[in-house]
Amino acid sequence: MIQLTKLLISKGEFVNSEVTTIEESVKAIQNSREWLHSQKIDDILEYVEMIGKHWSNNFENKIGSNSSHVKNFLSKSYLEKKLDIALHGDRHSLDNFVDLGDSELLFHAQPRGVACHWIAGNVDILGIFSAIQSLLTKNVSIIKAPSNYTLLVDLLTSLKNINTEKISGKKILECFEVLYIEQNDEKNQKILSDSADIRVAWGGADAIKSITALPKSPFTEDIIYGPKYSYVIIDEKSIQKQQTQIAQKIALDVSTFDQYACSSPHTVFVKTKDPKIISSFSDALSHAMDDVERILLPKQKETEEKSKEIISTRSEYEIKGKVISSKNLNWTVIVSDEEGLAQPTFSRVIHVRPFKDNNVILNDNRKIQSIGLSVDDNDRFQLIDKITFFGGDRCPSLGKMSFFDSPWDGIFGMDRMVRWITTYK
Amino acid sequence: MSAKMGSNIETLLESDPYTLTKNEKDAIFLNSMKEAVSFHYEKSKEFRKICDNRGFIQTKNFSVEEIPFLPVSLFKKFKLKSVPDSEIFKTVYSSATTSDLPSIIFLDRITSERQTKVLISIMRNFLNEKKDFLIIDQDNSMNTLPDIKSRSSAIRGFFPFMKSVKFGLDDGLKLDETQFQGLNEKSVCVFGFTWLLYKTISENKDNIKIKNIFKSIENIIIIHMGGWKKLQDLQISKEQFNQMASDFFNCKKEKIIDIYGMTEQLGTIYPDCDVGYKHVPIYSEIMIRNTDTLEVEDVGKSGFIQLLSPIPHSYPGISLLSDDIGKIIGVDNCPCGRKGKYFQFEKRAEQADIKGCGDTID
Repeated sequence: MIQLTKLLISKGEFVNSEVTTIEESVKAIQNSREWLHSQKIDDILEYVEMIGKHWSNNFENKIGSNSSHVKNFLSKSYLEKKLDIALHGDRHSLDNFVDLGDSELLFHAQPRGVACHWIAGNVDILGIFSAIQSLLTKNVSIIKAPSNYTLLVDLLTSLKNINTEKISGKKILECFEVLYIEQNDEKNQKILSDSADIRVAWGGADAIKSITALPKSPFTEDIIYGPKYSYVIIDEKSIQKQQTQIAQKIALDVSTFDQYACSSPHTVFVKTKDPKIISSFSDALSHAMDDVERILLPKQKETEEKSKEIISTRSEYEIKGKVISSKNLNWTVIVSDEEGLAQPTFSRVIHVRPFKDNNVILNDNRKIQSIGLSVDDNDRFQLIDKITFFGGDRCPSLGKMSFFDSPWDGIFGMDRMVRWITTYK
Repeated sequence: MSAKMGSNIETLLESDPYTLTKNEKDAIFLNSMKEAVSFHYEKSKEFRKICDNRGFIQTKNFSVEEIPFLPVSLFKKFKLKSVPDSEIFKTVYSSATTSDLPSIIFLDRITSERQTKVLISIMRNFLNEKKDFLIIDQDNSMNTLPDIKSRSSAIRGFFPFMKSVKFGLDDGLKLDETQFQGLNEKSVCVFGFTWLLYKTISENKDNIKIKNIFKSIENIIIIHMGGWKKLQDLQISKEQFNQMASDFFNCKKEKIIDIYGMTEQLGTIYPDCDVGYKHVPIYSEIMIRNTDTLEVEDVGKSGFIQLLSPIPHSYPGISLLSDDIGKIIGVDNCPCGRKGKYFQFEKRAEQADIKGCGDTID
């Protein structure tokens, strides 16, 4: 369905009106910069914690498996630590000059100004995290919403009803302009990009290419999330200890965002020489995929095009290996002896392959983002060091691969959202 | 084994294409399919693996619906054969429309003869007599380029219906006006590939001289084939195409016959009837599969078109899931009088876009 360019949230209100130009939004957002700058970071953190609680209570089902993580991530204690780490040791650098241990200098983190976020479809919750990071670093935001923007808009509109002693939700909502810009609307895409002090882009290769090709100021900071690929390594010992739990956690990682996130795994490598272990694990994984789909995360409807791809991939590997799948197209587990990373089909198609040292470690690929691990701890750090020398940004535990974290994609996003000001002591 | 006289398949091929009702056809068709399934299960390791993986036991009683399907994309990825290489006498390539790779189909004489036989039976039902053909294509019988070879091969399938042949385009695929002189003023069959007809009409829509030639011909039939992919990309609907073709060639719309079919199952073709529907002959079966659940859909509901036919002998293409979306319109009751199922092609499913921040690995 063709949609026109729209203002969804503007000047603290849900408006949902078609516009020919987004210039008014670009102007309006400037008005909130000084107010946000004058807020104390601890007050903002208190407010963000309230957001987490509110969303967890009111949007749990819509957010899905990430719901508890959203609450945890937005908690004050968690974000205090994340901010301190990202901002070189002291989050209060956002409020004042602070001593970070330099013998001569004091440091102050100034917001860059306007953060423009291009949020990808199917992973809108991940996009929300970048918007929150902008708020924490006192940057106002213009968000270009994906075509399925309902949840994003509902979440942000709800800020109006969240107030703390120090901060009013109405004022916070005024720090976000939310737009839908049609893909071919080059004029408004350019206006958006030109207005950005920070461009945060979420998306696949084509989307990122088109966003980064837009004109920008030489002083604009680009933060690119995606296009990335993720996978899992598990070993024989951990399978023997907890096969079912590992299978359940991987199934959750695969099913979250229907596998469209950069952090969604597409290949599981099993460190074993025993094909029976791979076979038994694949059966356990298929049961878990089914359970997750039935009980926790029902599959979203797919396009005919994607259905065609799933059918094609299934048949190809029925010949080259073994396929365990739902009767419909909801999930697919593919077992084969092939080496290397499987070409992703997305939409809950997971490949299980034997781990052979060369196939992963020598894969010199900067596209790798998350490597979910369940391996013997004695091997873990050495293995991670080897693998990530070539590519890979994070090695989370299983079941938490798509839990947004800082850093993400190898980037301390909040550090990149500020300018560091120094003065002598 | 399945090619022997007296086999279910050979008996099926002797039947009229559209005289049996669906109920009358079902048992005969199932027996032929059982014979074909058994043959390919034994001879094709790829087909056997697919059957085994899906828990399909070919020695047990089964329905046509239960026969495992192969997506047509498999013919781009594997060299699927059910006979030794020594028996392959022709290789057919599909035009590579949805990907860079063409489907490769290996034909033995048994398959080829069956294909010719059913093609003639089906087309005879639509063209009562031989016609003077004006082929909107180059005379490409000697050309060896795969895409041209594939068009040439399809054209040759219609030779039995040609009283005379003229090729209307030159080697650059531009109109060769000399070929339009001396056409039969009573009746001409304009024949060609859909996209090439569209291109020719678009380039010559103001050519009054050519249009006048067609105005002087009493009875024009247009037969076109090759699919709608290129026109779908140009957002040209079947109605728009028919209007353009009707105007240019001075042809009644009900005399424009779009032929649906695929390289992976040559011979069993599906021409439009006067009412505009495609009929399933006794030699094949069409089912519509829900694009989410893969269950067989009822009349009127859209989904992937599955094509079954016992005709392929040299390759296991007896049950194919196409990339095409269509729907069954009715059974045994088309106003044109043909019995059996009739259906409509709607569109081709394209390559999926990547959503989210995940990406492929290259």
